[in-house]
Amino acid sequence: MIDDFYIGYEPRMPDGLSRMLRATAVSLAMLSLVTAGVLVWAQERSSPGTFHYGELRSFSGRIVEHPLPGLEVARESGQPVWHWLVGPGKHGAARLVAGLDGRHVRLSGTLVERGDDRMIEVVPDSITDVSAERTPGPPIENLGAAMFDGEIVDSKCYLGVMKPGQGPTHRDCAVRCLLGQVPAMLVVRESKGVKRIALIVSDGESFQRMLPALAGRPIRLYGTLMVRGEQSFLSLSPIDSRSPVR
Amino acid sequence: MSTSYKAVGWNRQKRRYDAVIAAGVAVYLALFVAGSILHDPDSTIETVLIRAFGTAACLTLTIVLAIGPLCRLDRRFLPLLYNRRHLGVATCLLALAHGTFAIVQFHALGDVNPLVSVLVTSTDYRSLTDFPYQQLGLLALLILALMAATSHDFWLRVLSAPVWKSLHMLVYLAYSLVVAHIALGALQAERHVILPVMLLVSVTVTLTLHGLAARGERSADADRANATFVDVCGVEEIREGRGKTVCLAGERVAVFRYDGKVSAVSNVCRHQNGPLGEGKIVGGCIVCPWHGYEYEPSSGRAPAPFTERLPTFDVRVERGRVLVRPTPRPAGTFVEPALVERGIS
Ligand code: HEM
Ligand code: FES
Repeated sequence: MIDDFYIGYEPRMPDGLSRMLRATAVSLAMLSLVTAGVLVWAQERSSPGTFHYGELRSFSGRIVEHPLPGLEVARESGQPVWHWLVGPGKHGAARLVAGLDGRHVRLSGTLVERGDDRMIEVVPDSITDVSAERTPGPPIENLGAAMFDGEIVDSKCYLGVMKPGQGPTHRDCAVRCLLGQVPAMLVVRESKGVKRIALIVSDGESFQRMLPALAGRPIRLYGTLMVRGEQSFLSLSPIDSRSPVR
Repeated sequence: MSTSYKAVGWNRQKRRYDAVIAAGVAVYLALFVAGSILHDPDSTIETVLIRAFGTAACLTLTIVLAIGPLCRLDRRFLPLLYNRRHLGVATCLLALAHGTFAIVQFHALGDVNPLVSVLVTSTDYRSLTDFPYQQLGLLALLILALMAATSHDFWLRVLSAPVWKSLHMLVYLAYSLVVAHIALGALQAERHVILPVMLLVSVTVTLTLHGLAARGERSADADRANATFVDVCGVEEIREGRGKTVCLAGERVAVFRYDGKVSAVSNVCRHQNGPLGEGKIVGGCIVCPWHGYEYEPSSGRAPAPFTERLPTFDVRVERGRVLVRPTPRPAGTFVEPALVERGIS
């Protein structure tokens, strides 16, 4: 039987205890390192979007106010490139571009990219007119009824500002973003990959406020598919538009 | 409280203990962050930090909970207990970093105050998959913070030992909340089967250690009748300078043998209820195995200038057997020690 007795305020502890303690400390250290390794290895890979945080850039193009804020960034050759516009933090850009539909402007902001989608986090008060002219965009066209299964996300986090930007752990953040008027998107998993459709609501406010409660979980949405120029949208009407799917 | 004013101050063992904790935590965090960035280049640093701090807090909390039962099962683990509160405070700091980063990331810069947002955004308490798991984390963090804030012996004296002890039993509630926080939160988003398995293993180990330690104590407590003097053991069963814990009328008594004498005092240390029967006589005093509080075995009093007092018990030695009267004397009452020589002859 070992008669080692430990008294914490003595300068030295008995050798037997000291050996035991060292062995315990080493085992605990190994255990934590293995834990860290397994956790890192087992967690889900992050999605590919990029938020170019800290890189402010200047963009110029034509503002689209409806149905959702965007900027058609002019290119030297070819088609202008569509950029979604959002505000800082968990806010949309509707207020920043109010009344500017069709105006040619310059603005500064931070780019978010995921696949073909581009988005600018606009610096408020950075929007300046480039020319006084106003070119209205094409009219919104109605392509008829449509139905999709997917998950409602806030476009800003989903496109790369946050990882993960979707799913159950991110839901609270999606709710805050959607309530802050960040455009909602439906992420639809297809055999070829993932398709994203921006969501708009036909009766405005009240239903807009219902979207957050539906974010971050599997859902089926019915609506009308709309296009304006290059962009397509699913326009939801409150009646009959949702039922969760498992 | 005897030499313990040294014990609340810094000393070599404490500094080494803390250095080991700090180094361990730093290496864990560094490994987690570096590993995540290398293994998952698309990840963002905020999420990596949230996860590094959260998992580190969970790991240290599990170790904190394992130390108690480990010491009951094998006394050689006692050096881990001496400074356990520092590991507790480290757990709280890690959890605070995790919680703060998470609240900033998921709730700040929105349309309401971030703390309000944690409380009002998810409220589907009947759903398993949509449960407001962050509120569970917040509650656990509040408990850990309360415990860390009152961890100093000053609060033990202000709140009185029973209140302090009950407050610190909340650690088990905090642990349950953390387990639920992980199971209903992160594990709903993760797909690899090893992650729930790891959580299950850590919960099982924690429960098993506590179960084993409790069973050991119960069997040792096999109740003796409430007679005048109760035969508790043979003198030979107590090693010189050591104690033996017995249960009399539902109360634990520590019986010590030293310098040819036998004395019995309450087993419960006045500091934090440490098991005095597992202590040792050093320089004529019983030294508590947990943080080293000292008591004279015959009177249960801490040597001056300290004022702690233990209840004492009448004790006799007859024909090599130790007999103890189960009714305690008021704390600090001197009781003539029984002489071993006379009892054996
Ligand atoms: C204000 C309090 C807390 C908040 C707001 C909070 C929030 C969160 C969030 C949002 C996640 C998911 C993050 C992700 O997507 O990876 C998470 C996961 C986690 N939390 Fe907490 N938490 C809190 C307190 C705690 C406490 C006290 C502990 C442990 C002592 C803890 C341990 C964990 C662990 C181990 C995970 C899984 C790893 C991870 O995903 O980060 N949390 N928490
Ligand atoms: S010295 Fe802390 S419990 Fe006895």
